[in-house]
Amino acid sequence: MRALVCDASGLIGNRMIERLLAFKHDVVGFAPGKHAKADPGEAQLMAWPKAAGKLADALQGIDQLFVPNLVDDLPASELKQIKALLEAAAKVGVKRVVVLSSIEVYDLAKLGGRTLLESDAQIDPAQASPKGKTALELESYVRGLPGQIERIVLRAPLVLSADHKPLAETFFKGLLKDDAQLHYGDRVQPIDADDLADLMVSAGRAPSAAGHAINVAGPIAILTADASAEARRLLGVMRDTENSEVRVRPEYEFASPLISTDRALTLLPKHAIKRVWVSLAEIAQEIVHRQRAEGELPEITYKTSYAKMAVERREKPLKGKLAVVTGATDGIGRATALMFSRLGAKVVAVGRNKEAGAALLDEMKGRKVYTNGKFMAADLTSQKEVRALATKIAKQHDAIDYLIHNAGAAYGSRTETPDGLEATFALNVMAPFLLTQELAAPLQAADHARVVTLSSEAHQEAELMLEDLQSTDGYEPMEVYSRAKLCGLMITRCLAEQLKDTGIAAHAIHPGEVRTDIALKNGMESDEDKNLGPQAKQRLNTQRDRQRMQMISPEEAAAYVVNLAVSPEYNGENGLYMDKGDKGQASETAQDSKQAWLLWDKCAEFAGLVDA
Amino acid sequence: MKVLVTGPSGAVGQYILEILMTTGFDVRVFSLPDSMHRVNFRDRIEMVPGQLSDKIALEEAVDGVDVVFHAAVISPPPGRKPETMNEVNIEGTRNLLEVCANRVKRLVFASSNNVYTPHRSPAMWPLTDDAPREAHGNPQQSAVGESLIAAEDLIFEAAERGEIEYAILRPTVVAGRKTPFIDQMVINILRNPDNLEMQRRMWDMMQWSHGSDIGRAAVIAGTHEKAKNQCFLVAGDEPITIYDVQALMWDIMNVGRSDNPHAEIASRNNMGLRKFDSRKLKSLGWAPQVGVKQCIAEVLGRLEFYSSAAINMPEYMLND
Repeated sequence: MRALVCDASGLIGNRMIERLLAFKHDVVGFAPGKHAKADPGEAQLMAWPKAAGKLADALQGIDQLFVPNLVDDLPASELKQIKALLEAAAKVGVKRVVVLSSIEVYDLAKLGGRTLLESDAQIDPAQASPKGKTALELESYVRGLPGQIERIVLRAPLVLSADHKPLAETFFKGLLKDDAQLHYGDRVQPIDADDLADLMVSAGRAPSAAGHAINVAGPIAILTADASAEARRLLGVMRDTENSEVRVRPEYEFASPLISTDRALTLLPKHAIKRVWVSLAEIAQEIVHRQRAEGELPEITYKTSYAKMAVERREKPLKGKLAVVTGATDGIGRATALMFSRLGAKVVAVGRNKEAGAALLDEMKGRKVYTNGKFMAADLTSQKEVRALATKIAKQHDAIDYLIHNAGAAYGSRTETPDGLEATFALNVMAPFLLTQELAAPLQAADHARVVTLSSEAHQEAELMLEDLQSTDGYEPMEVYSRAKLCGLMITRCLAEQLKDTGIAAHAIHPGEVRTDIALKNGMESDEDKNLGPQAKQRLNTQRDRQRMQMISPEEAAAYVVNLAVSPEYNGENGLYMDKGDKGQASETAQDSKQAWLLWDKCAEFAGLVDA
Repeated sequence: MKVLVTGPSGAVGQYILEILMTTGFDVRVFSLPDSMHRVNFRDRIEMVPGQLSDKIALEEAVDGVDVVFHAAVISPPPGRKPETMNEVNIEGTRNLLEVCANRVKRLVFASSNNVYTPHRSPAMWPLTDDAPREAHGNPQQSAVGESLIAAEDLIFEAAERGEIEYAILRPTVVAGRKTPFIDQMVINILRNPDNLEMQRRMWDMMQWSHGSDIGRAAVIAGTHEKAKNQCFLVAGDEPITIYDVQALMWDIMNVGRSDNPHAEIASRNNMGLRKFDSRKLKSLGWAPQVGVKQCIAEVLGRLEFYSSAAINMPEYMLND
């Protein structure tokens, strides 16, 4: 089959060419400013031939002639060209011609609430719209063609397509106006450009379609009022980057069809399928995208945190800064150290396990994304070692920009440190307290240093019990741990008050439920494990793995910690309690300033500092 | 040209293997010893047994290979440890990169669209190939995302050191022969057809990609000059929600009828806009060829849905 498509670069024409080629037709297309080319598998495009003889040449051997020009009204010159082409086609012996016309040939004003049929009255040309007039003239010319040429006319309503700006957007913006019904009547039933192209092409093949004028339209009609409401709703949805939940289309009223497509359904093998709802959404999307591109709407911003985004963009905003991270050999601390290093900071990693420390440094050295750091071994339950560590750090570094008190543990049974303190309290409360005090000078030397203490939501349940901070009266590991986390939070609060005017900020954070080994170390592993048989043990392990799979990774937790330490969005803030990435609410006790200072005094006493 | 496929019996790997069979390449696969019997076309390919932690086996596998298709990555079923997943996805990729360095020309990595930053709101659509990454979702999805991002990072770094070229595929939900996600969704619809709203919310808009389309994308990614050091979003063309799946299932099971009771709710839930746009692949001549309806038909065929409790059986059959 050989087909000729005029308006080959037009809205419908170029879609038709794609489809005809897919059917393995030989395709010739008329398009302004195009030159003949005939790559196999492509359409041969040419400019509209000027001389009448050339027209006949172009029509030689053509089986189907498609005239999809009348999407919008045509200039008189184009109509004249089309007439000449049709006349030549009838003469040369083209088998079939398919012409796109418009439903504006009908007297739509008389329709009322009825459905339009092919048998409805046509409009008086004197009262017709310009496009209706052109359509009438074109149709009557087609009817009057001499000879046996098969003619098919498809009468289409408004054609929608997101990539065809003038028609689609005028329609859409018309809907947004209050008087939309005046423009479009009570119902609309536009057709999608892809669907129309399908129908045109199928009209070229359908055996029984010859000699018919066929109404085509989209699969459903909707009330103009509903179309207006939908257009407004869609614009809202397209502009709202926050709401990701409710976008189900409301149930609009049923509208009886504006245009009956029964004849098309019987005679043509293809049917329009794209509902007007989808067309409206596509146009709304196109409008919003253009407004964004032109700066009328702000660009899309992702909710990714500052620190994570910097990692993703491979930026090094912390170049030249120093971060001290305690407990950096494992879990959240290790991930925190690596993230700081990735953001360009030099990291002083503190931990007990020298081998794990060396492994951390190896990891940093092994990959170019990391900035090299150093490891300092210290057991933070010992005040002596905390002081030694502080001296060592202060000696080697003039300024500390970020101090992360991450080291923390729970102990299965009551353990005392060399200083005579209970170990949980010593590690989770005294160590951050003392280390911050000892590092006061380098912290002050930095430009707006931040101290971040890892806390836990577990503090919410804890009682303070100032009189028994060493838990001598009954020892319940998790209770003691929760209390220590509460104390840590209160110390952070005092610190924040104390540092109010120094430029240093102190924050605490609950990093979430994290997959770490905190519950399996330091005698915390439960005794029942040991006495279980193999099957029960297996079952317990499976259960544990399932639980762990519901927790977040140390890396994700670390991203919250690092973001709190470095993000500019917290500039000027002090004493924050964060629940992962959001500002959280600490327990009432934790917010009790008086109690907090009493605790502070006790800690100062334990540390041998008088009025720190 | 000689190519290697890792994970050749997996959801993606088996289709990469299948499409490679239609090219003239010499194909070798690297498979876990206890998965070797699941690998197709065993009479036409070389097989190297081993796991990604075994560098000696890896050395043997990449010997003389020009392009490696790395599809040996896992995601965790609820019981599996996230550490195991990282061991395979991150450390495995690290080992593979080490043995490939300066020997293999290009590595094609089957990652996932799960690595992209959250993009539920239609205002952010369509997501394109180079959108920023951020692991997200429930802890399990997030864990997969993190491990794949870490693996991708290792690949980027190897390319920056000049050791290898890469092409990364990030497919959406994979449809095909081995697709627990879609199987489960179809089973849920059969079992509980009236209560899908929660799942609609959970999965939201989907654009499945069929394994064979991913396989075709992989071959383009492995061979096209312009695919060098690029990341590709791989997504089908049809945006759907779970209600569309339900409506299409009804269509498949009720051929010839047009009174689909699920069509309206499916239409109301589906704006018809694409969440993903595989621009780069399309510019290289790729187009998805397997539609959603066919993906569902495959699953239904596999599930033998006609014996399901959700179907009204004639009485004499029920009495058996």
